[in-house]
Amino acid sequence: MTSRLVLENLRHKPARTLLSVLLIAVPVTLILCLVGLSHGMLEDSVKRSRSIGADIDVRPPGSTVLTLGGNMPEQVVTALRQMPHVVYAMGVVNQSIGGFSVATGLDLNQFKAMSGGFTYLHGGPFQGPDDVLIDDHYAEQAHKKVGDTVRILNIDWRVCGIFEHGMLTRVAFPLDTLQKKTGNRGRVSQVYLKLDNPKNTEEVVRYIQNQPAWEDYSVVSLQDLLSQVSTSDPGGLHAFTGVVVGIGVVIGFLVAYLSMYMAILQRTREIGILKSLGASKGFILGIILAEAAAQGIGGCLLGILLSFGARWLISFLVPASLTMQIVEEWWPIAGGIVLVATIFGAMYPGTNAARQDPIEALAYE
Amino acid sequence: MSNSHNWFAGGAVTHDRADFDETRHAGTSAGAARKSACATIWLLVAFTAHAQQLDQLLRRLDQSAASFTGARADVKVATYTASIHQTDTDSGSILVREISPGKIEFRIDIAGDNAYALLVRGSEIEYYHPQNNTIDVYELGKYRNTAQTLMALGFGTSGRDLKANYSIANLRRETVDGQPSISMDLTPKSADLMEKTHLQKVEVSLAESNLLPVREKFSFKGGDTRTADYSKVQTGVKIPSSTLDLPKNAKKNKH
Repeated sequence: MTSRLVLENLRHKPARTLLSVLLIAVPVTLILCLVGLSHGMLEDSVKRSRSIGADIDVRPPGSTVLTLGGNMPEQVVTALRQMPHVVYAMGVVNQSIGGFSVATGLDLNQFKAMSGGFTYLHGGPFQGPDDVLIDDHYAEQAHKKVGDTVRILNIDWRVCGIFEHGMLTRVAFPLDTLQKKTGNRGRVSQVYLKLDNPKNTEEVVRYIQNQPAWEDYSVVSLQDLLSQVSTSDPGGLHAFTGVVVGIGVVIGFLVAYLSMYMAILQRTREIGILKSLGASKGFILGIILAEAAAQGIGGCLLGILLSFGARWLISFLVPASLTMQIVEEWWPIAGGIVLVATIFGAMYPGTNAARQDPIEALAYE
Repeated sequence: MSNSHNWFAGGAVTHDRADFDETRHAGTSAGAARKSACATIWLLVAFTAHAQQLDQLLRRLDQSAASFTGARADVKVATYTASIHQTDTDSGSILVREISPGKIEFRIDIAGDNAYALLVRGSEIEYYHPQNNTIDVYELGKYRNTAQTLMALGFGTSGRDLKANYSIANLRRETVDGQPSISMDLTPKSADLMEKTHLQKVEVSLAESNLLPVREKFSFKGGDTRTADYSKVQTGVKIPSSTLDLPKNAKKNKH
């Protein structure tokens, strides 16, 4: 009886029902997109780092703008090469090139020795200091081919080669050129270590961290980094995710409130009839909340569906800049948050409806 | 003897001999009590003297900050990397300008191969890279005041700000770079700042004559240090705001 009433109510005003479902879907999609982007971009970055065959990633200590810190002296690479079980160490310079994109300055010979080198789809290695290598995703997004000029870091570079994506970076410059052009002569941002046996990774990480002068460096096993991505909220985005979740709660609450408020206004006489037939306050409230929950569930399902659309759109428009992942574990979280907000939003109009005097309601025009 | 030493140091008293001599113990206890009383009085006197000296210094810094309008100086920065026992040296200059009482803006220019300029103005910090004519812009947010009291430490810093942001210890007189100076060790009070920057301590030496910085040594976890030596310090100068401007045609990247 109740479910039929709810269903008929939803079908009675299909446009309003669909609009409510769509509006409830927005915050669900927003939350899933944000989580998917943070997971996707970090995992993509870690996977690209892993693909070069390195076992450990070493970064400089406490680098913030407040202490004029940043990169570390290049001699650190030599020192790390002396560590036990390390068979190869490669220093690179990372430079933000706008948005979330980072370019890498590297020595192609060292890179080849560590990873086997890039797989070139077009063109080949650097021919001169002003050459740049880009991956196929970047080339597609920027509409560039070999021989074209591309402006990065306020400098014009010649595209000398396009390599298959998934290897370390999307944009690669000659190490010494990037050092000169960014004021980092003799300095590197990151060092990759390759060990004699990956099984020794934990032992080497501990050994480096236990050296007093190295205790402040970030020394991370790349395998650990990859597993951390799939088990935690990555990238220090807790605060940002919190804000989006907050927006989702507010939107869900307001949408349900307005939708149910309007529905009750339109159905005042119906409510009066139900009450005069003996329907209790709880029954009326139950119908309103069930209707809100049905719209909420519809919104959650649509929100999940829309997140797939968002992923397709992102990979179609900006394949090099953004990578989004579908994080299934967040479906119940995002859906649950918005559903609870929706039910709370329907609570006040629902209570008002339940309190209505049947005679007044029947006289309502 | 070992017992009295432990007691003096404030450690737990331990009895490691079974055949303890009561008479000797009584004598030792009396001596230790006298010693501890003397030490307590000495510590009290020293603490009071230190507190008075610190109060005097902070008052002088307040006065000096009140009359501060601007300063310019040459700076030599030595960065020591403990993991490779290497020191890299850069040199340049600093310009500090008061915009309102207690508020400053400043620009640091470092010359050489890895030249850069850094401007702290309002709530932003801007890094200018002359190599590619770009400026990286960072929002300081809640670190706005920290930037002022950390990166331009000693230039118009009031005693009140110093006391509010740092724990001050080891106040002393010494000669630094041939200048009679007042030196002290500062530990940031903000745990967040220490965690983010890995900064452990700042040793600051201020010229006795005008309380402007002579040397600042920033010590980080792991043993890395950054030492800034200031020379040709001019104070009381009026610096127009436009002097601090970074090149207008540089491309800005917001982070």
